[in-house]
Amino acid sequence: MSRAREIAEREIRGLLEDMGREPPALHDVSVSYRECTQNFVVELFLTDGRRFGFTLPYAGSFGRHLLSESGFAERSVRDISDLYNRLAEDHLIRHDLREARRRLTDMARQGAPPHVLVALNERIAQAHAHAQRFHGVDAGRRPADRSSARLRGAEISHIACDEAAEVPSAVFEELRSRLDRDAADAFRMAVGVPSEPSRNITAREVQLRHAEMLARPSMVEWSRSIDLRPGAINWVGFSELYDPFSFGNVGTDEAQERGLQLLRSWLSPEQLAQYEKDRAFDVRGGKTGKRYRIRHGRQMNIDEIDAKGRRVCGWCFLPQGQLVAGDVMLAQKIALETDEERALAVANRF
Amino acid sequence: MPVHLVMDHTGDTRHEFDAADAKAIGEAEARFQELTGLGFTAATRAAPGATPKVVRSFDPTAEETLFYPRLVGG
Repeated sequence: MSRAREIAEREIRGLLEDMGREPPALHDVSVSYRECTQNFVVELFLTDGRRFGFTLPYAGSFGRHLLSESGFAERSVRDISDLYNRLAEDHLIRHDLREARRRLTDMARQGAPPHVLVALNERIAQAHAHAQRFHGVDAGRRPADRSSARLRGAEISHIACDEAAEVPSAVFEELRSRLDRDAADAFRMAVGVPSEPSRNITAREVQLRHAEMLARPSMVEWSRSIDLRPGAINWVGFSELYDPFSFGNVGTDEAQERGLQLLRSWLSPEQLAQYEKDRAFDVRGGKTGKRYRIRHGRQMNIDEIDAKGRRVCGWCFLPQGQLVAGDVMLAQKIALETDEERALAVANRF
Repeated sequence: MPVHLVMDHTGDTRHEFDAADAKAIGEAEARFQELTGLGFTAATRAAPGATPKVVRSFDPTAEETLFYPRLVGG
């Protein structure tokens, strides 16, 4: 296993450097085999205390190669490439979700209008759900143990007592009706409310939690009602707010600029004008004629738009490899315009 | 001069070739076959700003051919 460990460490370091991020200082790498599940478990321990782990099924070629020194040496480049590309995407999503929550906290502190905070919160919830479903990313959500089971209702009520000095009441009221637990946490931090001591939950809080759970679908409905028609939203400002979700932060500055130049040269004049104004552009599906809006970014950046200009759903697909945002958006545009069916067949809907 | 644009982590890599040079065309065709065999999609366009078109076979007269890697769900 020492050879497996050595190669895993080298590959991962190289990958993170290629991604244009500071490689985390690797303290240790552990590769173990779980007989019961027939999985390899690879864990990376970073010097800053974070642990970064993933599992590999024995049935996979990577797993088989790990068992055999000679086989390991013969592993295919493609297997390794796919594995680490996936790992890199998961890493980016986790990072960007953290950034988004930090941004929400900052915005709440700065008194951003409630509809913007709620919209951003909705976006965070979507990204989190997507990351959990397709990337196995927990994204920093606290484990549901007894001490963290203090309720949103209780926490928000607590904010209600203390928020007046720093948080506009309209913001609070809007958030109170729509926020999910993570945003409530962020909001609590933003207004500097200390955590409540651990205690048992009350029957009233159980009822509150249940009511809020039932209200969740209405949040989704509300997000669909956002008016995305040109001019209805200041997309430049909106894009700035959503930058943490752009997933565009890979590659060097030079590579990113080169990718954007290529994108600009392939956009139609209308698309280019829209992109320069809004950092997003519309394309028509080559088969169905449906309208899609590609926002600046690498992942989760495609919205399907209905005839009234409202968001129907999101689509997520991208070319393999650590391509810069400009390249990814261009590939998405060409795929939707020329081979919509095939593109959506591989895409994840959110 | 015709050019092949291959998307990669640097943004893109460009391979220009002389459409009048049989050897250069052979190399360009080999590149086309290799990339599409690896799962890359090749696209061309009639003019700047025009709607792109996916091509399945090598066209030595295309001014620009863009290659992007296989698409995956994100």
